[in-house]
Amino acid sequence: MWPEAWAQTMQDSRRSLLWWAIGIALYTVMVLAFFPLLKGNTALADLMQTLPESLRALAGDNLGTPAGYVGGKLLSTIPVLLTLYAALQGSALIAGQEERGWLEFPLSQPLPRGALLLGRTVALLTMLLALGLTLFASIWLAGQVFAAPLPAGRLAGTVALHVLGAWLFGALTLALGAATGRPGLAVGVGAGLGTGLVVVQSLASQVQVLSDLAWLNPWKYALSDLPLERGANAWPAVICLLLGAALVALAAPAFGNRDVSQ
Amino acid sequence: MNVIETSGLSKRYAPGVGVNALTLSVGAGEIFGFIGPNGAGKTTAIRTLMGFLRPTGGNAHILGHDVWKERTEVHRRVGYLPGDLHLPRDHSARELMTRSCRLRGGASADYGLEIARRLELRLDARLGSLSKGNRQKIGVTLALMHRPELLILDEPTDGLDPLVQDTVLALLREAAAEGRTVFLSSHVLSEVERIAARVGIIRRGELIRVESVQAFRASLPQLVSLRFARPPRVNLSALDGMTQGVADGLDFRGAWRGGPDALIRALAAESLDSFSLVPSTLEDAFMDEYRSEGPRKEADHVA
Repeated sequence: MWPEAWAQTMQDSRRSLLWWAIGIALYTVMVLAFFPLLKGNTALADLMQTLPESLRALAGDNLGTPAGYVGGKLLSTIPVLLTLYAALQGSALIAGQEERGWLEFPLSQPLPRGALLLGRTVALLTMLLALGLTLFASIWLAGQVFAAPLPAGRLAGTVALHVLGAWLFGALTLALGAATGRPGLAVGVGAGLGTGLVVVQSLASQVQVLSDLAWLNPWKYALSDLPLERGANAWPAVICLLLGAALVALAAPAFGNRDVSQ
Repeated sequence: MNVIETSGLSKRYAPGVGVNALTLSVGAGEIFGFIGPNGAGKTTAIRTLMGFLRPTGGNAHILGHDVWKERTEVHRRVGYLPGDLHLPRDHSARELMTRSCRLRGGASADYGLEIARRLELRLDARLGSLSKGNRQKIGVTLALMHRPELLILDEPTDGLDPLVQDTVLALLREAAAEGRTVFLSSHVLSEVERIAARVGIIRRGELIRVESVQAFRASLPQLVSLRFARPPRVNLSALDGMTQGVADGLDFRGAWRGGPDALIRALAAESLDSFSLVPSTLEDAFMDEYRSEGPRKEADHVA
């Protein structure tokens, strides 16, 4: 039953997914198009060395190398973009549709609420993976065009950390929306936490307590650990994937036992 | 086994809001009208029967299945039309019918297409471009298309023009003739009268009466309006069965309960210019009840 719920959700979401994919691809190409101007620019590298570490962390190290440039200039904003997409979709899929009265149609069919939730959760993950694939392909291809080639394996691992980090907050939003039926609350918490933690991570190098607790922040592994330069660790991605699934699983009984509004 | 069986079914949002202790049985093949003014709790009762709202008391079974715990099994055998139909604007009727078929394990859309043809429904137009009446046709088609054993329809003819209303009522009669059960709500008695054999009256969340349409109809007062040709010798207001009588010169108006015999006899010796005896509508009946409760409520409020 849930695969049908998944298929129908994907059909409904395909247009907005397409526009987001186009936006991300254009953004990637635009940022990478400036790389040839910075490549091998020693003056810039010297300037960066004179900056305090905190500013270097904000601006990105090694802007003259492909990995440093893509990691510092392009991927540093991707967690915010992907989190916003994941949270907006996550709140719309159950709570947002419920608020519009659209859940009565699928739920008056012999479709258990759990199957609807599962289908829509898998759809959210599918959409994020599709955006991840777009991000990977556009960085890799634009890298070839603009003389910033990147090893495909490392790039794939890095993109996976970004996508699954955003998945965690999208799943949190979906779970909150399903449990409460309140899309505003869900998107506020999910998007707020996801983007707030990006900012927190950018401060972690200066604030000791944040640095000590940074292992709890999914964005540490995607941003501060420089996966593009040092190689990505698979575990944080796997943990984000499972944690997101667990959040939705925790919300399922609440969704099954509450009133569905019209 | 009754198709619908509820016992003390309640859904209270707050004191006085929702449905209270609804006990009702509807048998197979019956067309049951659930009537009451807007805001009386019809939709709450229906959405509780559909397993969208969790009962706060009592229980309800449809075709032997608990409406809350076994709602998926209930949905398999029930066609539902919501009172306020919300569907995504960029879908067409055909897409929604296909989706419904797929969610029912590849059910056939043949009967749905036949209904759509009879309702003159535009299958490929996007919902956003359709009028309220045309969207309602889609809702009716979706509810009926799988030939379910029970149809639960919240105000099925709402927004439809009279010709289409006739078609919908004919479709419901056909369903009942095939042994399927129809449970429909309405705030218009005349509509329910045309199709239902039995009605339940809900007011302020309470099921106040369940009886045959004929018995219910007979119990409502009829509006008497007449003009005497000459000053009358009879005092109509004094007759048993006459209430709210108002004489104004040669004109007389009042509300009459019971058979017409006594009234006709009382008028036999009089000469009349005009005479009419009009059945009062459900709306009139409820207006009376609300009017009689109005001042008391206000007093409560002031106190």
